Amino acid sequence: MLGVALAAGVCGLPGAIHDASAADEKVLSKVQLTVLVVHATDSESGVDPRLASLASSFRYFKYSGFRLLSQQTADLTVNGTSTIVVEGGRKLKVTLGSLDSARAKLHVEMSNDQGKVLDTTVNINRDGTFIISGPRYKDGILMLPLRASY
Amino acid sequence: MNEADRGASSLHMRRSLSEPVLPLTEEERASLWLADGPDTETDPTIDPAGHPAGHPAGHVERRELRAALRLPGEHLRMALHGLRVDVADDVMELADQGDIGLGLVLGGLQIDLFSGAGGSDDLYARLDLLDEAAALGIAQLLPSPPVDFADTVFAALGDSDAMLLSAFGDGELVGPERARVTRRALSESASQASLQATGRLGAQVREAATAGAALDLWGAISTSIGADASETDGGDEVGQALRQAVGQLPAIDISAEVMARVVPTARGASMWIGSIAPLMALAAAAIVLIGIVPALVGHSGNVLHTGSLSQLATPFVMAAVNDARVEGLETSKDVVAQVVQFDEGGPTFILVDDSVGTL
Repeated sequence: MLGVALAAGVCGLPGAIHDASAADEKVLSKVQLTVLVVHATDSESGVDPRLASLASSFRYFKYSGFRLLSQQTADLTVNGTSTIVVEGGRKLKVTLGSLDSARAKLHVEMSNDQGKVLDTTVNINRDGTFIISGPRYKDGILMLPLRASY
Repeated sequence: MNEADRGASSLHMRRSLSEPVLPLTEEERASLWLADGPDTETDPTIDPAGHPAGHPAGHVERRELRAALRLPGEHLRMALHGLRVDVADDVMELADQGDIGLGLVLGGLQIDLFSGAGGSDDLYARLDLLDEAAALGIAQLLPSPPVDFADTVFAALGDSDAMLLSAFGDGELVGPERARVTRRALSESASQASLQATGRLGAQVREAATAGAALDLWGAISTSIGADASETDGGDEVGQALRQAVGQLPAIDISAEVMARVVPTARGASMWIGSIAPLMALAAAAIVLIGIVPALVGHSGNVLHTGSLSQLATPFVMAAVNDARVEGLETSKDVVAQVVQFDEGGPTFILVDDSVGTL
């Protein structure tokens, strides 16, 4: 009886290890992409409190006001794509190229009403942020922080 | 992208950033300040790669900027639009000059410009111009009046350079001598930390300044009492009397009423009140003392309607380190993209102007 029980226990172990590995792989198979759309303008002053964590990065720009227009999130699996509509008739198409415990590779295409204008691949650290900045909007520009968190 | 679009311009080239960073050539080193002067020959702050220690080089952004700065001036300006004018103008001037080789440090932003080798005198003349900008560090990004970094540089160089310091402080150093003094200040970690701290302070001052107009109490007071606003003799006595009187007053907080007139009522509006409540209290005290009821709170332009923080489904939080490696970058014709990282660990910016052209 004991031998049978031990055998059953031993047979169970590989399954348990497999489940843990599968769980890890599941965790690393997707990222949460967050995209902010920020309007940098001189017609307003101050930094939107919701952008507090970015304020220190904005100080290098000549604009007096930074307003959050929208925030969009999407879960991306590897080779998955998400298209984000941005003010000014623009779109951001983001594809998750690869993913490991430390870094994620994102392929970003930006297009306006005339077609694609930017095509870039960014390898970003886990939970890191990079910012596409400069598309003109009204009296200022748009700033698009992108963060890949997982 | 078809062949027709792949013009001679490097704008159309897909750049592979997996290329190794090439070490400086002797010509490049000779064209830089690093190779000149007895202070640099034995300067332990300069590492063998030829870069000043303490100036961590962002290889990705240096290479990108180097390529970008060979572009026609107009394209470069398009790439840099949105940056503060004085920063963009400095870089534009360098690009227009053509044959320059030097390094420029603006806080955490490094721009290495390699575009042939000019004459050493001409080089130093430009180094002098831009090393002054470099010595001011982030202060160059501040609105006028600029922060005076002379004292910071002065203190960073030590007693052994007393004569040089005196000359530097008096503005008597010119050309290569001035450039060497400021370069040393930049290369020393103490001065770097001081410069960066002052730069951060300057940024905070700028943010505070743009958050709302400063209160000009004397202007309002002088008008009420019939005094000449330009006459400030005896102001210390008046100020002392005012401070004593204010100190005896009970606390008055009219900030809520004032903000209600200036900012749309919203849950988030209280985030703005705290930062100006002390100024509001002082203004209220002055009103009680002098009997003036002017509009002391002024905001240039419209104050942002903050809305409710609860509108953010998940608060956006910046990681402590944001290490972005741009592995490919392609733009449409006449569109320029530039990669810049302003602060070490800060987010990388991909500057792009899509006003014209598509892929």
